[in-house]
Amino acid sequence: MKRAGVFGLLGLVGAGVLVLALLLGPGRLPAGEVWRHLVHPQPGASGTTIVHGLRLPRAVSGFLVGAALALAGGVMQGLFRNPLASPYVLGVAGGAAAGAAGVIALGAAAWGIPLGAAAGAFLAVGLAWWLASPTRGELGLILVGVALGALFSSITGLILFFTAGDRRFQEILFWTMGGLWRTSGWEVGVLAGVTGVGAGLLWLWGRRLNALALGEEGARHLGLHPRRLRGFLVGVATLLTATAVAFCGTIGFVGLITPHLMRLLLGPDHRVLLPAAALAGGVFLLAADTLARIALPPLELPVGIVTGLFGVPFFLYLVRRRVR
Amino acid sequence: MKVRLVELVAGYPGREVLAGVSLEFRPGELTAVVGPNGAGKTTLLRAISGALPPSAGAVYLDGKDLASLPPKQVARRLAMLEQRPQLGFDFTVRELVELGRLPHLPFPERLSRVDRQVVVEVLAEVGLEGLAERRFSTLSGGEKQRAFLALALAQRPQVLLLDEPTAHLDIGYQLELMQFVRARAEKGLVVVLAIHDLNLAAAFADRLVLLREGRVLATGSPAQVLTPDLVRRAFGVEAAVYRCPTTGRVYLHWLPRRPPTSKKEGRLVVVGGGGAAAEILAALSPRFQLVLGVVCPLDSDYQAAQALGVEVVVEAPFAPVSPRALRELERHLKASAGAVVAPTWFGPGNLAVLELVAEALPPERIFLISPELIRERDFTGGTAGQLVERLLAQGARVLTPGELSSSAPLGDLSSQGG
Amino acid sequence: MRAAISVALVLTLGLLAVGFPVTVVDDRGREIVIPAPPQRVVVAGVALYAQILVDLGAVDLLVGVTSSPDNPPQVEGLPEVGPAFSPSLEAIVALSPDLVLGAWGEVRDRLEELGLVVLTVGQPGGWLTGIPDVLDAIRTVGRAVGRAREADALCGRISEEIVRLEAQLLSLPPVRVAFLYMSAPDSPPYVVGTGTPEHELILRAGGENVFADLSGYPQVSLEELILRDPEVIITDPAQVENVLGSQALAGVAAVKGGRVYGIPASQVVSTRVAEVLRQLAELLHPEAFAP
Repeated sequence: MKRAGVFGLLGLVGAGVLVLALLLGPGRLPAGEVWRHLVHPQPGASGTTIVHGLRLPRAVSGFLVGAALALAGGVMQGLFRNPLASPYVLGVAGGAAAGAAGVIALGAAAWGIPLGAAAGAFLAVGLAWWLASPTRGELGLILVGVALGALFSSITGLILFFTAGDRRFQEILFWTMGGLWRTSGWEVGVLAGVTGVGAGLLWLWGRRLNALALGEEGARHLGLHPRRLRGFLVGVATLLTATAVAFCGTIGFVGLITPHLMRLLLGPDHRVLLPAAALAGGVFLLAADTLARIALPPLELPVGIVTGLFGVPFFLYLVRRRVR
Repeated sequence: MKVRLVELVAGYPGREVLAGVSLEFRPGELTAVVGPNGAGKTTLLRAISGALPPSAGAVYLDGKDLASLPPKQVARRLAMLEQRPQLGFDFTVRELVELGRLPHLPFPERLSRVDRQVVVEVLAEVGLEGLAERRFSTLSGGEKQRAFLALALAQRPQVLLLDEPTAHLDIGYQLELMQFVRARAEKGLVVVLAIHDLNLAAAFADRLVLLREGRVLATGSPAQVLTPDLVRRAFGVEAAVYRCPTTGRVYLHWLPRRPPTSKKEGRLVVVGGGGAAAEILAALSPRFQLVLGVVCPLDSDYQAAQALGVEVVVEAPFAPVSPRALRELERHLKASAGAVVAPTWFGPGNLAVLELVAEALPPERIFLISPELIRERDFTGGTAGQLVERLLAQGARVLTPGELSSSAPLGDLSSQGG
Repeated sequence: MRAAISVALVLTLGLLAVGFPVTVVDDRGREIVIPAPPQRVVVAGVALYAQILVDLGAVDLLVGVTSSPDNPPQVEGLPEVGPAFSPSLEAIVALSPDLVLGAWGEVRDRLEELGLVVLTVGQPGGWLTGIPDVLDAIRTVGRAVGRAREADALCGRISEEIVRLEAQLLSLPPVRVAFLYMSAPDSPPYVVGTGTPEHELILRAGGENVFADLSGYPQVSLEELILRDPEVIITDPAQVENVLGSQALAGVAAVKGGRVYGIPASQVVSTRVAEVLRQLAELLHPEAFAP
């Protein structure tokens, strides 16, 4: 069965990448020591701090963020019947960046930044939904979302301009580059909770999402409320994306490529596609982040650069195949 | 399960399409909704399906107002096959058809064994059982249509609506589909289909609804609705209505367009029979009030006249022309501007017709079409031929079949008689 | 004999440990407690911290630095933990430091979460805006690593130098100066306003900042610069050519008079600040320093 094969392969690769993520890093710990610190943590030992305090939460965050973005991307692709949609298509990234930039510019405390980012993300999507409601169907929603994304990007640019030459400028830029090292403890918990709930809900709504492929009328003829359904799904996807972005900045291509790839491999049935995309997204981001950490030690490349480096050529390849 | 529309008014922002429609659809009946573009066929179907809420009036499913029923409940009883169904992703046929079970499933829509069984059955009904695992994009046009039909059938509806289902199919698939939906109607479903092809509709439907500009122009059996007059009023085209001898169903054949003025230029008597007059009738009937004589009901010229709504002086089959018929013909001749004699076969039975014409009208008001053929087709031992020669010598005019269509030769008749 | 040595040893160690645990105040106004003399210090911020440790004779305490071009040569060969604006948490932790200097923002938060002692000085966020911040940094870091005496001495030397210099310049009329950064010829420059270390330098070196009505590092148009017509322009050494090569600025007094000089930004906030100040004063008032 092809499906079992794909899931099995993903699980295997995922396990392998997880092992690598725990073994590799600028801290240069031999494998035996990593294992020792993992199972017998000694508070205060730098090895334990590295394994439990840094690598493990980072690996878990990487997997969760990748899964969340892939799920959100898969939903967006299904909703808009476009395999090239991304989780950021409704202006989420722009809104989150503007929210975070605003909070940083106002000099608020560090815990305020994820809140600002999340608020910005929801504001952007909410605005898009409200502005697009007189139009029927999804095309209006996409267009408004794109326009708002551009608007919020301009706002972020404006904030950057006014804070230029300031530490805040650096902080804002830094935030937009994204990083999985920022989350620990309760933040990972929130990520896990949101991703888990999101994944569960989306799996339950899988067949309805399939039905949306029939178009507005087709779905209505099967007894669904297309607009309500769209609103719900956009809400769940935005929750996933906003949480991921709020904690870790905007990381591109994961949410676009993994659902698309899984659809090519496993078909468009969302009840299979979304779990596979979540798994694949988690593994992909974890692998990218591990690479970002070990490529040029002690430099840690922003993970968005690595996903882009791999994502873009692959994406172009997919586009060329399709256009043929 | 009955579907009833009461004073239904429906349309789109700024544009009311249906302007008050009251109809009833019964189980066991295949109803075809026909009409020109913009008449409201698709709008009607969408109003019945619930996709388009009415601005006024109501749709009742088994006595319950459609607007008051939750969409899921409606979807359990009513399925619609759209004109151009879209499928945003490349599902397999099975995955697509499984969606048809959605209305019957409580959240979270897991398929039971019964549901899977329904899917298998439905695929067999449309003949796609071997293609269940194929991806949609790999199917042919007809197979894609059948897949969507299977999706509709998987809802196990009591009402089946189809919007132009034959529009993009080849003739083989078209007939297959029509036979299929007819069979469904016979099994007890309410089947309503919007269709452009009038003959296809007439061939398979029990009832026709003719729409024009958002109103019902006529409803009834195909023979009742497809008359040349109604067709002209609805579509602005000229048609001849025939009955197929083998199936008993009516069908249309198109005629060249009438010139803008529909006022007749005068009355003419056409002498014909045996098929010689059909073309002449077709060419002249737009301009003139015609009477055909004398033929029997088995004659193809009789059928052509019926098709064109031309009056006929009839005689019993296999009998010679009776004095009664001759008297009737004479009355028409006296009231006409002239007579056109088709290159028909004359025998002892109908020679009297030609003699009557020669007697009743001055020669310059008699037109002969291909008189050489009349001589060839003379079964009267030469009498008919001699009569023709005499008429020609006295001034009867000859027209070629081609000249019939142009107005000049008969123009001087329009001011006389009638 | 052996007993005497032991006693001397204990006394020395005791002397060294005197004053510990030390409490200092960081940039956030929070009290940071340093329980024992640090033996393994990592610089996770700007190069200034490395400079201070070198100047205080405490370079052997350093086990790791950020990779900055402004690092003093003495720290060459030490493990690097990444760039100052984004150091690697793991690299820092792997060095098992007992004191981390200069980290800010989320990096600092995470390090503190992991139980490390982090000290950053200056304005909130770790920004250093002038000579008082530098002196404060020297003193605070000095106390934190148990070199309080050396720190006070260094601060004293720097202050003396500056006071002497300012005395020399007292009676001289201020020279009109613009301190700016211009990334390409004819591009609108980022100029220095009040609240910056460069501004303070200008004032103390006997100059007048033509952009004293602005604050921070705003970007202005070329016209504005031409309008204000400074007598001297200071910029980064690499950008001197950009200023001289600007067509638009050909009429400005500083350009006409050839008085465009380069001073590296990294030296403006450093322990070398007194030398930089002297350098600047000599450029602005050559007549006061002629032999």
